[in-house]
Amino acid sequence: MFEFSLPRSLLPLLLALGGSFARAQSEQDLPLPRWTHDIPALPGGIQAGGSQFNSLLPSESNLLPPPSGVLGLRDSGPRLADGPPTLLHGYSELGPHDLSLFLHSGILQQQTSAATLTKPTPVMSLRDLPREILLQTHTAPANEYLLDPQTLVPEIPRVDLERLLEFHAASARIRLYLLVLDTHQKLPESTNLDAVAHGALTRQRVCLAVYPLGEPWRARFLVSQAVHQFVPSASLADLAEDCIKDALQATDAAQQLQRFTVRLSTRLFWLEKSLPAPVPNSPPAPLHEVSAQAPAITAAVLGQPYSLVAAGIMLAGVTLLGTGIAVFRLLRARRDRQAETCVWILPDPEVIPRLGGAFSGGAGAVISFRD
Amino acid sequence: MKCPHCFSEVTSGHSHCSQCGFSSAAIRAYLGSDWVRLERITDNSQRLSLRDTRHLETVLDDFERRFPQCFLAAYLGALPGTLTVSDLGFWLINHGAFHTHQISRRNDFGIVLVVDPLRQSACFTVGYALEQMLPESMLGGILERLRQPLKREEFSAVIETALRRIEKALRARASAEPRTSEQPPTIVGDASDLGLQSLRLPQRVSSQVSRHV
Repeated sequence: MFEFSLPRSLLPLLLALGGSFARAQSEQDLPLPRWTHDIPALPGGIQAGGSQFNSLLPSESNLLPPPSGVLGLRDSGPRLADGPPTLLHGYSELGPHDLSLFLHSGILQQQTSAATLTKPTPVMSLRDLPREILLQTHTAPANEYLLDPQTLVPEIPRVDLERLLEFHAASARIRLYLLVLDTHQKLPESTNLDAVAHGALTRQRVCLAVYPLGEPWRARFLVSQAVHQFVPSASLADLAEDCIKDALQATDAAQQLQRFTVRLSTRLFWLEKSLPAPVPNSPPAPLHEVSAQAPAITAAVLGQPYSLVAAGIMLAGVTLLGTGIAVFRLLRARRDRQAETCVWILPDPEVIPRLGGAFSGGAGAVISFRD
Repeated sequence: MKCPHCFSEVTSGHSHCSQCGFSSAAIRAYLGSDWVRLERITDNSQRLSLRDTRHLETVLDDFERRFPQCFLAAYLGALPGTLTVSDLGFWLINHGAFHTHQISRRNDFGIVLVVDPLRQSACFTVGYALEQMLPESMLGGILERLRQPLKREEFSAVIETALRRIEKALRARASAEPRTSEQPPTIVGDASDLGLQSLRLPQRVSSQVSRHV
Protein backbone atom coordinates (compact mmCIF):
# COMPACT_ATOMS: atom_id res chain seq x y z
CA MET A 1 0.00 0.00 0.00
CA PHE A 2 1.39 3.31 -0.98
CA GLU A 3 0.40 6.63 0.38
CA PHE A 4 0.40 10.05 -1.19
CA SER A 5 -1.34 13.25 -0.61
CA LEU A 6 -3.67 14.89 -3.07
CA PRO A 7 -4.61 18.48 -3.40
CA ARG A 8 -7.89 19.32 -1.77
CA SER A 9 -9.10 20.72 -5.05
CA LEU A 10 -9.40 17.23 -6.40
CA LEU A 11 -11.46 16.01 -3.51
CA PRO A 12 -14.92 16.33 -5.12
CA LEU A 13 -13.67 14.65 -8.28
CA LEU A 14 -12.20 11.82 -6.30
CA LEU A 15 -15.42 11.42 -4.38
CA ALA A 16 -17.36 10.92 -7.56
CA LEU A 17 -14.79 8.60 -9.06
CA GLY A 18 -14.60 6.66 -5.85
CA GLY A 19 -18.35 6.04 -5.93
CA SER A 20 -18.36 4.59 -9.47
CA PHE A 21 -15.33 2.57 -8.79
CA ALA A 22 -16.82 1.07 -5.68
CA ARG A 23 -20.05 0.15 -7.39
CA ALA A 24 -18.14 -1.61 -10.19
CA GLN A 25 -16.07 -3.51 -7.70
CA SER A 26 -19.04 -4.65 -5.65
CA GLU A 27 -20.61 -6.16 -8.75
CA GLN A 28 -17.59 -8.36 -9.22
CA ASP A 29 -17.60 -9.35 -5.49
CA LEU A 30 -14.04 -8.47 -5.02
CA PRO A 31 -12.64 -8.56 -1.46
CA LEU A 32 -12.80 -4.92 -0.90
CA PRO A 33 -13.78 -2.98 2.19
CA ARG A 34 -17.49 -2.54 2.71
CA TRP A 35 -19.10 0.77 1.97
CA THR A 36 -21.07 2.68 4.46
CA HIS A 37 -24.17 4.05 2.84
CA ASP A 38 -24.98 6.42 5.68
CA ILE A 39 -24.23 9.91 4.65
CA PRO A 40 -22.81 11.75 7.58
CA ALA A 41 -24.37 15.07 8.45
CA LEU A 42 -22.26 18.13 8.14
CA PRO A 43 -21.52 19.74 11.44
CA GLY A 44 -22.83 23.11 12.29
CA GLY A 45 -25.70 22.85 9.85
CA ILE A 46 -23.44 23.74 6.99
CA GLN A 47 -24.98 23.08 3.65
CA ALA A 48 -23.00 21.17 1.10
CA GLY A 49 -22.77 23.43 -1.84
CA GLY A 50 -21.84 26.94 -2.76
CA SER A 51 -23.83 30.04 -2.32
CA GLN A 52 -24.83 30.48 -5.91
CA PHE A 53 -24.31 27.18 -7.64
CA ASN A 54 -26.22 24.78 -5.42
CA SER A 55 -28.44 23.64 -8.19
CA LEU A 56 -25.50 22.60 -10.27
CA LEU A 57 -24.01 20.34 -7.64
CA PRO A 58 -24.69 16.62 -7.69
CA SER A 59 -27.27 15.33 -5.26
CA GLU A 60 -26.13 14.11 -1.92
CA SER A 61 -26.90 10.47 -2.80
CA ASN A 62 -24.18 10.59 -5.39
CA LEU A 63 -21.64 11.77 -2.91
CA LEU A 64 -20.75 8.52 -1.33
CA PRO A 65 -18.00 8.48 1.15
CA PRO A 66 -14.93 6.69 -0.15
CA PRO A 67 -13.66 3.62 1.61
CA SER A 68 -10.67 3.89 3.76
CA GLY A 69 -7.55 3.25 1.77
CA VAL A 70 -9.22 3.28 -1.63
CA LEU A 71 -7.22 5.15 -4.20
CA GLY A 72 -4.59 5.68 -1.65
CA LEU A 73 -6.61 8.18 0.32
CA ARG A 74 -5.27 8.41 3.78
CA ASP A 75 -7.45 7.64 6.74
CA SER A 76 -6.44 10.94 8.16
CA GLY A 77 -7.34 12.89 5.05
CA PRO A 78 -10.22 15.33 4.74
CA ARG A 79 -13.72 13.96 4.76
CA LEU A 80 -17.17 15.39 4.45
CA ALA A 81 -17.67 14.86 8.13
CA ASP A 82 -14.64 16.96 8.87
CA GLY A 83 -16.47 20.15 8.08
CA PRO A 84 -15.58 22.73 5.49
CA PRO A 85 -11.90 23.00 4.94
CA THR A 86 -10.45 26.44 4.83
CA LEU A 87 -9.16 26.85 1.34
CA LEU A 88 -7.65 30.26 1.66
CA HIS A 89 -7.22 32.55 4.56
CA GLY A 90 -9.12 35.72 3.96
CA TYR A 91 -11.74 34.12 1.74
CA SER A 92 -13.66 32.23 4.34
CA GLU A 93 -16.90 33.75 3.12
CA LEU A 94 -16.77 31.41 0.17
CA GLY A 95 -18.07 27.92 0.64
CA PRO A 96 -15.80 24.99 0.01
CA HIS A 97 -17.99 23.66 -2.76
CA ASP A 98 -18.53 26.93 -4.51
CA LEU A 99 -18.15 26.31 -8.20
CA SER A 100 -16.45 29.63 -8.57
CA LEU A 101 -13.45 27.93 -7.05
CA PHE A 102 -13.16 25.87 -10.21
CA LEU A 103 -13.37 28.79 -12.56
CA HIS A 104 -10.40 29.99 -14.45
CA SER A 105 -8.14 32.17 -12.35
CA GLY A 106 -10.14 31.12 -9.34
CA ILE A 107 -8.92 31.37 -5.84
CA LEU A 108 -8.12 27.69 -5.68
CA GLN A 109 -5.41 28.15 -8.24
CA GLN A 110 -3.86 30.80 -6.07
CA GLN A 111 -3.76 28.56 -3.05
CA THR A 112 -0.08 27.88 -3.28
CA SER A 113 0.86 31.43 -4.02
CA ALA A 114 -1.08 32.68 -1.03
CA ALA A 115 1.55 31.17 1.12
CA THR A 116 4.16 33.22 -0.68
CA LEU A 117 2.98 36.44 0.98
CA THR A 118 5.67 37.14 3.49
CA LYS A 119 7.05 40.11 5.27
CA PRO A 120 8.60 42.80 3.12
CA THR A 121 12.12 42.08 2.13
CA PRO A 122 14.47 44.25 4.15
CA VAL A 123 16.40 46.73 2.07
CA MET A 124 19.67 45.13 2.99
CA SER A 125 18.44 41.78 1.75
CA LEU A 126 17.54 42.98 -1.72
CA ARG A 127 19.72 41.62 -4.48
CA ASP A 128 20.37 43.13 -7.86
CA LEU A 129 18.78 41.53 -10.85
CA PRO A 130 21.55 39.46 -12.47
CA ARG A 131 23.05 41.15 -15.48
CA GLU A 132 22.56 38.17 -17.79
CA ILE A 133 18.85 38.15 -17.02
CA LEU A 134 18.64 41.85 -17.68
CA LEU A 135 20.39 41.34 -20.99
CA GLN A 136 17.70 38.86 -21.95
CA THR A 137 15.18 41.66 -21.87
CA HIS A 138 17.26 43.61 -24.35
CA THR A 139 16.70 40.97 -26.98
CA ALA A 140 13.02 40.47 -26.21
CA PRO A 141 10.63 41.12 -29.10
CA ALA A 142 8.96 44.50 -29.10
CA ASN A 143 5.54 42.89 -29.03
CA GLU A 144 6.32 40.87 -25.91
CA TYR A 145 4.79 43.05 -23.24
CA LEU A 146 5.24 40.78 -20.28
CA LEU A 147 8.94 40.60 -19.58
CA ASP A 148 9.43 37.70 -17.27
CA PRO A 149 12.81 36.25 -18.14
CA GLN A 150 12.97 34.27 -14.92
CA THR A 151 9.52 32.73 -15.45
CA LEU A 152 8.33 33.91 -12.07
CA VAL A 153 4.68 34.25 -12.99
CA PRO A 154 2.80 30.93 -13.05
CA GLU A 155 1.54 29.74 -16.37
CA ILE A 156 -2.14 30.57 -16.10
CA PRO A 157 -1.73 34.08 -14.70
CA ARG A 158 0.99 34.59 -17.28
CA VAL A 159 -1.39 33.79 -20.10
CA ASP A 160 -3.94 36.12 -18.57
CA LEU A 161 -1.45 38.92 -18.30
CA GLU A 162 -0.13 38.42 -21.80
CA ARG A 163 -3.65 38.57 -23.18
CA LEU A 164 -4.39 41.68 -21.18
CA LEU A 165 -1.21 43.43 -22.27
CA GLU A 166 -1.73 42.49 -25.90
CA PHE A 167 -5.25 43.81 -25.76
CA HIS A 168 -3.95 46.96 -24.14
CA ALA A 169 -1.29 47.42 -26.82
CA ALA A 170 -3.85 46.98 -29.54
CA SER A 171 -6.28 49.47 -28.04
CA ALA A 172 -4.25 52.07 -26.14
CA ARG A 173 -1.90 54.73 -27.39
CA ILE A 174 0.43 54.21 -24.45
CA ARG A 175 1.77 50.70 -24.51
CA LEU A 176 2.33 48.92 -21.28
CA TYR A 177 5.34 46.73 -20.60
CA LEU A 178 5.70 44.78 -17.41
CA LEU A 179 9.06 43.58 -16.17
CA VAL A 180 8.64 41.12 -13.33
CA LEU A 181 11.32 40.71 -10.70
CA ASP A 182 11.53 38.22 -7.91
CA THR A 183 10.53 39.27 -4.41
CA HIS A 184 14.07 39.79 -3.22
CA GLN A 185 15.31 41.40 -6.41
CA LYS A 186 15.77 44.99 -7.45
CA LEU A 187 17.15 46.70 -10.47
CA PRO A 188 20.85 47.53 -10.27
CA GLU A 189 21.58 51.17 -9.57
CA SER A 190 22.94 52.02 -12.99
CA THR A 191 20.43 50.07 -15.00
CA ASN A 192 19.54 51.55 -18.36
CA LEU A 193 16.20 50.24 -19.47
CA ASP A 194 16.27 52.11 -22.74
CA ALA A 195 17.75 49.05 -24.42
CA VAL A 196 14.87 46.78 -23.50
CA ALA A 197 13.29 45.15 -26.55
CA HIS A 198 16.02 46.50 -28.83
CA GLY A 199 15.20 50.04 -27.73
CA ALA A 200 11.60 49.80 -28.82
CA LEU A 201 10.46 51.48 -25.62
CA THR A 202 12.23 54.70 -26.50
CA ARG A 203 10.58 55.01 -29.89
CA GLN A 204 6.97 54.97 -28.84
CA ARG A 205 4.64 56.00 -26.07
CA VAL A 206 5.34 53.48 -23.41
CA CYS A 207 4.94 52.86 -19.74
CA LEU A 208 7.29 50.27 -18.31
CA ALA A 209 6.47 48.97 -14.86
CA VAL A 210 9.16 47.11 -12.99
CA TYR A 211 7.27 44.97 -10.58
CA PRO A 212 8.82 42.90 -7.75
CA LEU A 213 6.53 39.97 -7.26
CA GLY A 214 4.71 40.17 -3.95
CA GLU A 215 6.02 43.66 -3.12
CA PRO A 216 4.01 46.13 -5.16
CA TRP A 217 5.13 49.06 -3.04
CA ARG A 218 8.56 48.66 -4.61
CA ALA A 219 7.20 48.89 -8.14
CA ARG A 220 8.93 51.40 -10.36
CA PHE A 221 7.31 53.23 -13.23
CA LEU A 222 9.07 54.54 -16.31
CA VAL A 223 7.39 56.43 -19.09
CA SER A 224 8.73 57.58 -22.41
CA GLN A 225 9.45 61.22 -22.99
CA ALA A 226 6.46 61.48 -25.29
CA VAL A 227 4.31 60.83 -22.23
CA HIS A 228 6.37 62.58 -19.62
CA GLN A 229 6.50 65.94 -21.37
CA PHE A 230 2.74 66.25 -21.72
CA VAL A 231 1.58 64.88 -18.40
CA PRO A 232 2.25 66.66 -15.10
CA SER A 233 4.52 64.80 -12.74
CA ALA A 234 1.84 64.96 -10.07
CA SER A 235 -0.58 63.06 -12.32
CA LEU A 236 2.00 60.40 -13.02
CA ALA A 237 2.82 60.12 -9.35
CA ASP A 238 -0.87 59.79 -8.60
CA LEU A 239 -1.14 57.05 -11.20
CA ALA A 240 1.71 55.13 -9.64
CA GLU A 241 0.30 55.57 -6.17
CA ASP A 242 -3.13 54.44 -7.29
CA CYS A 243 -1.77 51.27 -8.88
CA ILE A 244 0.22 50.39 -5.79
CA LYS A 245 -2.76 51.02 -3.57
CA ASP A 246 -4.96 48.85 -5.74
CA ALA A 247 -2.45 46.04 -5.75
CA LEU A 248 -2.27 46.18 -1.99
CA GLN A 249 -5.98 45.44 -1.83
CA ALA A 250 -5.04 41.81 -2.45
CA THR A 251 -2.88 39.71 -0.21
CA ASP A 252 -1.90 37.14 -2.76
CA ALA A 253 1.15 37.91 -4.90
CA ALA A 254 -0.40 36.77 -8.17
CA GLN A 255 -3.61 38.66 -7.48
CA GLN A 256 -1.62 41.71 -6.57
CA LEU A 257 0.15 41.54 -9.91
CA GLN A 258 -3.14 41.07 -11.71
CA ARG A 259 -4.77 44.00 -9.94
CA PHE A 260 -1.70 46.11 -10.47
CA THR A 261 -1.64 45.45 -14.20
CA VAL A 262 -5.35 45.96 -14.70
CA ARG A 263 -5.26 49.21 -12.76
CA LEU A 264 -2.23 50.48 -14.60
CA SER A 265 -3.79 49.60 -17.93
CA THR A 266 -6.96 51.44 -16.97
CA ARG A 267 -5.08 54.51 -15.80
CA LEU A 268 -3.06 54.58 -19.00
CA PHE A 269 -6.27 54.59 -20.98
CA TRP A 270 -7.36 57.63 -18.95
CA LEU A 271 -3.99 59.22 -19.38
CA GLU A 272 -3.88 59.06 -23.11
CA LYS A 273 -6.76 61.51 -23.32
CA SER A 274 -4.41 64.24 -22.17
CA LEU A 275 -1.85 63.48 -24.85
CA PRO A 276 -1.71 65.26 -28.19
CA ALA A 277 -1.64 63.38 -31.45
CA PRO A 278 1.57 61.40 -31.89
CA VAL A 279 4.30 62.97 -33.98
CA PRO A 280 5.44 60.65 -36.75
CA ASN A 281 9.14 59.75 -36.98
CA SER A 282 9.92 61.27 -33.62
CA PRO A 283 13.47 60.50 -32.48
CA PRO A 284 14.08 57.98 -29.72
CA ALA A 285 14.10 59.47 -26.24
CA PRO A 286 15.10 57.94 -22.92
CA LEU A 287 12.56 56.74 -20.42
CA HIS A 288 11.67 58.86 -17.40
CA GLU A 289 10.99 57.35 -14.04
CA VAL A 290 7.88 58.32 -12.13
CA SER A 291 8.04 58.47 -8.36
CA ALA A 292 5.01 57.23 -6.56
CA GLN A 293 3.79 59.26 -3.61
CA ALA A 294 2.91 56.11 -1.82
CA PRO A 295 5.73 55.42 0.59
CA ALA A 296 3.78 56.70 3.58
CA ILE A 297 0.79 54.53 2.75
CA THR A 298 2.75 51.47 1.89
CA ALA A 299 4.97 51.91 4.84
CA ALA A 300 1.95 52.10 7.05
CA VAL A 301 0.59 48.94 5.46
CA LEU A 302 3.58 46.81 5.03
CA GLY A 303 6.37 48.40 6.76
CA GLN A 304 9.93 47.48 6.51
CA PRO A 305 11.78 48.96 3.53
CA TYR A 306 10.11 52.33 3.65
CA SER A 307 9.70 52.25 7.37
CA LEU A 308 13.46 52.13 7.69
CA VAL A 309 13.78 55.30 5.67
CA ALA A 310 10.80 56.91 7.39
CA ALA A 311 12.11 55.87 10.75
CA GLY A 312 15.47 57.37 9.88
CA ILE A 313 13.88 60.63 8.84
CA MET A 314 11.68 60.67 11.91
CA LEU A 315 14.63 59.86 14.12
CA ALA A 316 16.65 62.67 12.57
CA GLY A 317 13.71 65.03 12.96
CA VAL A 318 13.10 64.05 16.54
CA THR A 319 16.80 64.35 17.28
CA LEU A 320 16.92 67.78 15.68
CA LEU A 321 13.82 68.88 17.52
CA GLY A 322 15.11 67.50 20.78
CA THR A 323 18.43 69.23 20.28
CA GLY A 324 16.66 72.49 19.54
CA ILE A 325 14.52 72.20 22.63
CA ALA A 326 17.53 71.27 24.73
CA VAL A 327 19.52 74.24 23.42
CA PHE A 328 16.57 76.55 23.99
CA ARG A 329 16.13 75.30 27.53
CA LEU A 330 19.85 75.56 28.15
CA LEU A 331 19.90 79.14 26.97
CA ARG A 332 16.83 79.99 28.97
CA ALA A 333 18.23 78.34 32.08
CA ARG A 334 21.47 80.22 31.53
CA ARG A 335 19.57 83.46 31.19
CA ASP A 336 17.57 82.68 34.30
CA ARG A 337 20.73 81.86 36.20
CA GLN A 338 22.26 85.06 34.94
CA ALA A 339 19.16 86.93 35.99
CA GLU A 340 19.44 85.42 39.44
CA THR A 341 23.09 86.16 39.87
CA CYS A 342 23.39 89.35 37.83
CA VAL A 343 21.87 92.77 37.80
CA TRP A 344 21.72 95.13 34.89
CA ILE A 345 23.43 98.43 35.44
CA LEU A 346 22.56 101.33 33.21
CA PRO A 347 24.89 104.16 32.36
CA ASP A 348 24.29 107.44 34.18
CA PRO A 349 24.51 110.23 31.63
CA GLU A 350 24.70 113.90 32.45
CA VAL A 351 21.63 115.73 31.18
CA ILE A 352 20.94 119.43 31.37
CA PRO A 353 17.55 119.90 33.07
CA ARG A 354 14.63 121.30 31.12
CA LEU A 355 11.45 123.03 32.14
CA GLY A 356 12.68 123.24 35.72
CA GLY A 357 12.20 119.54 36.29
CA ALA A 358 14.61 118.05 38.81
CA PHE A 359 14.38 114.47 37.51
CA SER A 360 12.59 114.66 34.21
CA GLY A 361 12.11 117.16 31.42
CA GLY A 362 8.91 115.42 30.30
CA ALA A 363 10.53 113.07 27.78
CA GLY A 364 8.28 110.29 26.67
CA ALA A 365 5.45 109.49 24.33
CA VAL A 366 1.69 109.98 24.29
CA ILE A 367 -1.05 108.06 22.53
CA SER A 368 -4.76 108.57 22.25
CA PHE A 369 -6.52 105.25 21.81
CA ARG A 370 -9.91 106.79 21.20
CA ASP A 371 -11.79 105.26 18.20
CA MET B 1 12.59 117.13 23.34
CA LYS B 2 8.96 118.15 23.47
CA CYS B 3 6.89 120.05 25.93
CA PRO B 4 4.66 117.61 27.80
CA HIS B 5 1.78 120.04 27.62
CA CYS B 6 1.75 121.39 24.07
CA PHE B 7 4.28 118.98 22.46
CA SER B 8 6.28 121.83 20.91
CA GLU B 9 10.06 121.49 20.80
CA VAL B 10 11.89 122.45 23.98
CA THR B 11 15.65 122.90 24.01
CA SER B 12 17.82 121.86 26.91
CA GLY B 13 18.35 124.46 29.60
CA HIS B 14 15.08 126.29 29.03
CA SER B 15 13.10 126.69 32.22
CA HIS B 16 9.74 126.92 30.49
CA CYS B 17 8.08 126.15 27.18
CA SER B 18 8.35 129.08 24.83
CA GLN B 19 5.01 128.15 23.22
CA CYS B 20 2.68 127.50 26.15
CA GLY B 21 4.75 128.62 29.14
CA PHE B 22 4.61 125.18 30.73
CA SER B 23 7.20 124.62 33.43
CA SER B 24 7.76 122.74 36.63
CA ALA B 25 6.70 125.81 38.58
CA ALA B 26 3.46 126.05 36.59
CA ILE B 27 2.48 122.47 37.24
CA ARG B 28 3.50 122.82 40.88
CA ALA B 29 1.12 125.74 41.16
CA TYR B 30 -1.63 123.49 39.91
CA LEU B 31 -0.89 120.23 41.74
CA GLY B 32 1.19 121.46 44.65
CA SER B 33 4.82 121.19 45.53
CA ASP B 34 4.54 118.43 48.10
CA TRP B 35 6.05 115.08 47.45
CA VAL B 36 3.55 112.34 46.96
CA ARG B 37 3.98 108.69 47.64
CA LEU B 38 4.39 106.95 44.30
CA GLU B 39 3.36 103.31 44.38
CA ARG B 40 4.10 100.79 41.67
CA ILE B 41 0.40 100.64 40.86
CA THR B 42 -2.00 103.47 41.58
CA ASP B 43 -5.41 102.41 40.33
CA ASN B 44 -7.55 105.44 41.03
CA SER B 45 -10.19 104.35 38.52
CA GLN B 46 -10.61 100.86 39.96
CA ARG B 47 -9.86 99.16 36.66
CA LEU B 48 -7.61 96.47 38.07
CA SER B 49 -8.68 93.51 40.14
CA LEU B 50 -6.79 92.56 43.25
CA ARG B 51 -5.43 89.57 41.43
CA ASP B 52 -4.14 91.75 38.60
CA THR B 53 -2.62 94.18 41.02
CA ARG B 54 -0.79 91.45 42.93
CA HIS B 55 0.45 89.92 39.72
CA LEU B 56 1.72 93.28 38.52
CA GLU B 57 3.42 93.88 41.84
CA THR B 58 5.34 90.66 41.35
CA VAL B 59 6.27 91.51 37.77
CA LEU B 60 7.39 95.00 38.69
CA ASP B 61 9.31 93.74 41.68
CA ASP B 62 11.23 91.33 39.45
CA PHE B 63 12.01 94.19 37.12
CA GLU B 64 13.34 96.26 39.98
CA ARG B 65 15.52 93.35 41.14
CA ARG B 66 17.06 93.02 37.69
CA PHE B 67 17.46 96.79 37.25
CA PRO B 68 18.36 98.15 40.69
CA GLN B 69 18.46 101.74 39.42
CA CYS B 70 15.03 101.75 37.77
CA PHE B 71 11.39 101.59 38.60
CA LEU B 72 8.14 101.79 36.75
CA ALA B 73 5.05 103.31 38.30
CA ALA B 74 1.65 103.10 36.69
CA TYR B 75 -1.19 105.48 37.37
CA LEU B 76 -4.74 104.70 36.19
CA GLY B 77 -7.29 107.40 36.71
CA ALA B 78 -9.55 109.96 35.14
CA LEU B 79 -8.01 113.40 34.93
CA PRO B 80 -9.65 116.82 34.79
CA GLY B 81 -9.86 118.51 31.42
CA THR B 82 -7.16 121.01 32.28
CA LEU B 83 -4.61 118.30 33.02
CA THR B 84 -3.16 116.03 30.39
CA VAL B 85 -1.67 112.61 31.03
CA SER B 86 1.77 113.91 30.15
CA ASP B 87 1.34 116.85 32.57
CA LEU B 88 0.68 114.40 35.38
CA GLY B 89 3.54 112.15 34.25
CA PHE B 90 5.93 115.09 34.36
CA TRP B 91 4.76 116.11 37.82
CA LEU B 92 4.78 112.56 39.23
CA ILE B 93 8.31 111.81 38.18
CA ASN B 94 9.49 115.10 39.62
CA HIS B 95 7.41 115.02 42.81
CA GLY B 96 6.80 111.37 43.45
CA ALA B 97 8.61 109.52 46.20
CA PHE B 98 8.78 106.03 44.86
CA HIS B 99 7.88 103.48 47.45
CA THR B 100 11.32 102.08 48.13
CA HIS B 101 13.96 102.55 50.74
CA GLN B 102 16.78 102.05 48.27
CA ILE B 103 18.62 105.30 47.80
CA SER B 104 20.11 104.10 44.56
CA ARG B 105 16.69 104.12 42.91
CA ARG B 106 16.54 107.67 41.74
CA ASN B 107 13.65 109.32 39.98
CA ASP B 108 15.73 110.18 36.94
CA PHE B 109 15.82 106.41 36.29
CA GLY B 110 12.07 106.24 36.74
CA ILE B 111 9.37 105.47 34.21
CA VAL B 112 5.82 106.61 34.77
CA LEU B 113 2.88 105.30 32.82
CA VAL B 114 -0.26 107.39 33.10
CA VAL B 115 -3.50 106.11 31.60
CA ASP B 116 -6.75 108.07 31.54
CA PRO B 117 -9.45 105.50 30.72
CA LEU B 118 -12.14 108.15 30.25
CA ARG B 119 -10.21 110.39 27.92
CA GLN B 120 -8.65 107.28 26.38
CA SER B 121 -5.12 108.56 26.39
CA ALA B 122 -1.90 107.15 27.77
CA CYS B 123 1.65 108.38 28.11
CA PHE B 124 5.09 107.29 29.17
CA THR B 125 7.30 109.78 30.95
CA VAL B 126 10.88 108.89 31.69
CA GLY B 127 13.59 110.53 33.78
CA TYR B 128 16.62 112.23 32.41
CA ALA B 129 18.83 109.16 32.72
CA LEU B 130 16.59 107.07 30.48
CA GLU B 131 15.96 109.64 27.76
CA GLN B 132 18.68 108.28 25.50
CA MET B 133 17.89 104.63 26.17
CA LEU B 134 14.15 104.97 25.74
CA PRO B 135 13.67 107.56 23.03
CA GLU B 136 10.29 108.92 22.10
CA SER B 137 10.08 106.82 18.94
CA MET B 138 10.57 103.60 20.87
CA LEU B 139 8.08 104.48 23.57
CA GLY B 140 5.61 105.62 20.93
CA GLY B 141 6.02 102.29 19.17
CA ILE B 142 5.35 100.41 22.38
CA LEU B 143 2.21 102.42 23.00
CA GLU B 144 1.08 101.92 19.43
CA ARG B 145 1.34 98.15 19.82
CA LEU B 146 -0.68 98.39 22.99
CA ARG B 147 -3.47 100.31 21.33
CA GLN B 148 -5.88 97.37 21.12
CA PRO B 149 -5.37 96.16 24.71
CA LEU B 150 -5.80 99.76 25.83
CA LYS B 151 -9.08 99.96 23.96
CA ARG B 152 -10.21 96.74 25.58
CA GLU B 153 -9.12 98.17 28.94
CA GLU B 154 -6.82 95.22 29.53
CA PHE B 155 -4.59 97.41 31.65
CA SER B 156 -2.84 94.60 33.45
CA ALA B 157 -1.69 93.16 30.16
CA VAL B 158 -0.76 96.63 28.95
CA ILE B 159 1.50 97.29 31.91
CA GLU B 160 3.14 93.86 31.78
CA THR B 161 3.74 93.96 28.03
CA ALA B 162 5.09 97.48 28.19
CA LEU B 163 7.47 96.45 30.94
CA ARG B 164 8.76 93.47 28.92
CA ARG B 165 9.48 95.67 25.94
CA ILE B 166 11.12 98.36 28.01
CA GLU B 167 13.24 95.77 29.79
CA LYS B 168 14.37 94.36 26.46
CA ALA B 169 15.38 97.84 25.29
CA LEU B 170 17.21 98.58 28.51
CA ARG B 171 19.16 95.32 28.44
CA ALA B 172 20.62 96.33 25.11
CA ARG B 173 22.19 99.36 26.76
CA ALA B 174 22.95 97.92 30.17
CA SER B 175 25.87 95.93 31.42
CA ALA B 176 25.42 92.78 33.46
CA GLU B 177 27.15 92.79 36.78
CA PRO B 178 27.18 90.14 39.47
CA ARG B 179 24.74 90.64 42.23
CA THR B 180 26.49 91.76 45.35
CA SER B 181 26.53 89.17 48.05
CA GLU B 182 24.60 89.99 51.17
CA GLN B 183 26.68 91.57 53.90
CA PRO B 184 25.68 92.50 57.45
CA PRO B 185 25.55 96.25 58.09
CA THR B 186 28.76 97.49 59.65
CA ILE B 187 27.30 100.63 61.15
CA VAL B 188 23.75 100.96 62.39
CA GLY B 189 22.91 104.67 62.72
CA ASP B 190 19.18 104.12 62.92
CA ALA B 191 16.48 101.68 61.86
CA SER B 192 16.77 102.67 58.21
CA ASP B 193 20.11 100.88 58.08
CA LEU B 194 18.18 97.69 58.84
CA GLY B 195 15.73 98.33 56.04
CA LEU B 196 13.07 99.82 58.26
CA GLN B 197 11.43 103.00 57.09
CA SER B 198 10.74 105.76 59.54
CA LEU B 199 7.35 107.43 59.65
CA ARG B 200 6.45 111.01 60.52
CA LEU B 201 6.13 111.34 64.24
CA PRO B 202 2.81 112.83 65.31
CA GLN B 203 4.31 113.71 68.67
CA ARG B 204 6.68 116.19 67.06
CA VAL B 205 3.78 118.01 65.39
CA SER B 206 1.76 118.02 68.58
CA SER B 207 4.73 119.29 70.59
CA GLN B 208 5.24 122.13 68.12
CA VAL B 209 1.55 122.92 68.31
CA SER B 210 1.65 122.86 72.09
CA ARG B 211 4.73 125.07 72.07
CA HIS B 212 2.98 127.62 69.84
CA VAL B 213 0.02 127.42 72.06
